[in-house]
Amino acid sequence: MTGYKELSGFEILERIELRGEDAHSWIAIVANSSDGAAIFATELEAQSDLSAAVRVVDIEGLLTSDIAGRLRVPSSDHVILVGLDGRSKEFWTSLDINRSALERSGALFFWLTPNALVDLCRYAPNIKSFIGTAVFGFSGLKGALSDKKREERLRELSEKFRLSDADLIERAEKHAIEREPEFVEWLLLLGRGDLV
Amino acid sequence: MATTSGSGRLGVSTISDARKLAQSLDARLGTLTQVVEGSAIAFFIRIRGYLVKQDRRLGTKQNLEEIIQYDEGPGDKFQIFLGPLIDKGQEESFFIFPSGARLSFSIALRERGGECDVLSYRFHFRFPNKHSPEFVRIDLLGKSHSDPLAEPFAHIHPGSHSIRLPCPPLTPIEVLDRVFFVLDRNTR
Repeated sequence: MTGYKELSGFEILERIELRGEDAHSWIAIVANSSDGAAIFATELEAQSDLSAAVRVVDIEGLLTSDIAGRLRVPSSDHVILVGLDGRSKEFWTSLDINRSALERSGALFFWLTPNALVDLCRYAPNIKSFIGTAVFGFSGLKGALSDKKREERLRELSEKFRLSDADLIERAEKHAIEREPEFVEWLLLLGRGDLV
Repeated sequence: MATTSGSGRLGVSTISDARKLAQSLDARLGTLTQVVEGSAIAFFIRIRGYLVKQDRRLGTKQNLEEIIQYDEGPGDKFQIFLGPLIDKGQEESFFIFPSGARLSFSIALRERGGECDVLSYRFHFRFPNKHSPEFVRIDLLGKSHSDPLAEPFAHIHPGSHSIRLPCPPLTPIEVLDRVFFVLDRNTR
């Protein structure tokens, strides 16, 4: 279970099948911090075919009995559990024994640091078994425009309008261009959002 | 007897009257400012999620994580891109429909607290070969043009780069709804 692939949130969602009502999915997501959980939650909500909402539930400091309560209402949304890092052996053992209280119709994501994954595997064997092979490393959000693509777009803009980047900036500074979508794009790609 | 129509009376319009009315329309449409909830990154994810669902519905299995991109500009500016700037023919970076039609777009946003202003956009839908018109393009300008009769603030190109007809300033999702449920022949 500790061997897992690093994937973007988009790729993780392509790989997991979130079953519908009356079934539940438990998935472990491994990341160095909980910063990415909100991004992943947005990704999950955006791609989910079911109209289930998504919640990020921080269980830091909560007892296992409290956790079940937070998961129950509602029970059909997808929940991402954060705050599992640095928990004690007793916490994991208790969570494992009371794992039926975690069952719900919506998916349950355990957002874990690598150390927390080791603890889960060591002290919560039943939860580990239920998660099975649904363990993924979270590498973040993909899709940022590369420098190469940026240069390509700038070149196309320059060719289309027969203007250099400097000409465009000069005209924009003199308020001598209209705010066509291509000119807005061009100025932003040049880092001149102040002229938009 | 012909009269000027500036006051709303029926009669012959001069182009000057038409420009005044167009300015008035642009001002009215400009008050329908487009704001989207959440951060720019969240909006990028939602737009991509919308296209994922359409891809699933159409059964097209496109590499959406590769073809939809974002650029975090300077300060509070942000852009989202699908496909190339200029349509030079069939390319992998468009959203391709089963009919052979293809879609590209660019959207510019400004983040402001927990929401974003839509600064401008360009959505280009190219119909399959031998279709008339060849394309429909839906644009939102960064601000009103100096000649809103020729170039309204929010407009549609009905298959011609030089003809622009005014339309309400739609949100990007509203534009995509028109693309997928009105323009695409598989859904009509």
